[in-house]
Amino acid sequence: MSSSSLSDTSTGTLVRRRTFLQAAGVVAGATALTLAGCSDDTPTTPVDPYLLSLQEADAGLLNYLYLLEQLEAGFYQQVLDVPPTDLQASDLTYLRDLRDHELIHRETLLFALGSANAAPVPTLTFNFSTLNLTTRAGVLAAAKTFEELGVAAYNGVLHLVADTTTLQLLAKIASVEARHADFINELLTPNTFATTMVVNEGPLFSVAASKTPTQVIAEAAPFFLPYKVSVTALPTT
Amino acid sequence: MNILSILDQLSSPNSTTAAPRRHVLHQLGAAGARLVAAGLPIVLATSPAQARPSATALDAVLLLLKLEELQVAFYTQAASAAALAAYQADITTIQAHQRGHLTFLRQFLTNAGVAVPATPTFDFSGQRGNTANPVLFADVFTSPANFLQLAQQLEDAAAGIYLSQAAVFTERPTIMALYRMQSVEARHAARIRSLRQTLLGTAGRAKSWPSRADTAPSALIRVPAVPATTPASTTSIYSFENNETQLVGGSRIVPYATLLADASKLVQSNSLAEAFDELLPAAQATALLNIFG
Repeated sequence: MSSSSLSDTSTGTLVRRRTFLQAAGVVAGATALTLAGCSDDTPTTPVDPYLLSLQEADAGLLNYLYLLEQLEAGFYQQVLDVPPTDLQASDLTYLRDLRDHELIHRETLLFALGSANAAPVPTLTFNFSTLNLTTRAGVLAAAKTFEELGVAAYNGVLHLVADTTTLQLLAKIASVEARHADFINELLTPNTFATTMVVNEGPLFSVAASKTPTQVIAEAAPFFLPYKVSVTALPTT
Repeated sequence: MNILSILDQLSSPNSTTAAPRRHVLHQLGAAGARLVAAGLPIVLATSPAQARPSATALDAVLLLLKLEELQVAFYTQAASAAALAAYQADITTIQAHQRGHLTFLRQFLTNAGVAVPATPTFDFSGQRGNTANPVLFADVFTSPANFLQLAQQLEDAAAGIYLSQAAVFTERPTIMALYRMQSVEARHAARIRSLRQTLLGTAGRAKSWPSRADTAPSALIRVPAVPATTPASTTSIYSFENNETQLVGGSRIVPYATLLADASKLVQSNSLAEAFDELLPAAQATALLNIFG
């Protein structure tokens, strides 16, 4: 009896996990099981309904950037919905621009996912409880965090995108994200040029800092809670 | 230090196929042959599917080299201009970044067995070193406003030129390097735009990203229009930034009218064009560089 129900449970677990991963955009077909990584899990491992496992290749990269654009757009929308009392009218004008840009980026990535026959991750509501969004300084500091993280994220994965048309579109977005980062820095600390994000690295001189998906997701983890994001399937070379 | 070797360690072993190798060999001739003979990766690769005759990988590197040489010359002159004393910190920083890019590109060519061409002499008045020619850009180093509006155009163009030239390459380490240099150019452009906005005050607008709301520079860099016209006509580099048609995989047009139709997704009329920096094609980039040197 107990062994039978355990068996049923484990089967159900596997099925649910597969279903979830397909819903999260894992490519259907012969490789789906490998991509999902089910073979690594023992049947009794509990399903984590809050685990977002991004898929391989371009689909995974697009979902990764889609998540980050969701995060940025969500952040600016939150600020516009409940602006701090000391935020100036001129600040709001520009934050509205930034919200628009991030929203457009987000919708572009969502369309790109569909175009690549890859299911998108769900629309998330973000957890901004670790941020102080009740003051101008707090909002701008948070914006700087998001923008610098976004730029470093794009710079860490652009070259891994296989589809050249999509790559060029993503690069056009990344370029505007770099401008955002400098703009927010200007608002936060006027007349300082943020040079800490320009680095020398091996044979490369004066290039923008980059971060791997693992690094980015670790930094952004508090905002995704209760969701956790796994980027282990993303390409690295 | 061997850049190609280091870059190769970062690259996927599967990222170079035989066809692009043959293709680039054809393009690079003897230089390419030496590269292969040395057992080095072909980082100057061009995808046959996307290649145009005028946009080879070697052309791309040489174009970027001239762009960086132009920028170094521009900021070197600016660094000794008394009228621009207020901007010296930024000028020094940007100049150092451009020199870093120049070092990389020169090393890139050297390691590929290609002789680095001599640095041109640049004339930022647009007179091409001949006082009989009209002055296209007056008082560039004696007027802060004129300096900033030319600097803005050069930096915006640099961001767009890196976007167009990076697209020529298929080797991932090269693509990574160029886009990360591109990102720095975009920051420069944003920084210069902030300086210009401060100078314009309430009398004008220079957003940190190209926008139709911007106050146009009074002296515009003009490049060949696209599509080309007969007789030939020119256009501002910002005409490219007005683009609102974006493509994703399979060359599908992103249907923004539909995507942004929901009330929660309405955006301002300038936002769609602002949200993307645009490629400045090789022909326009070449024309731009030829104005100055």
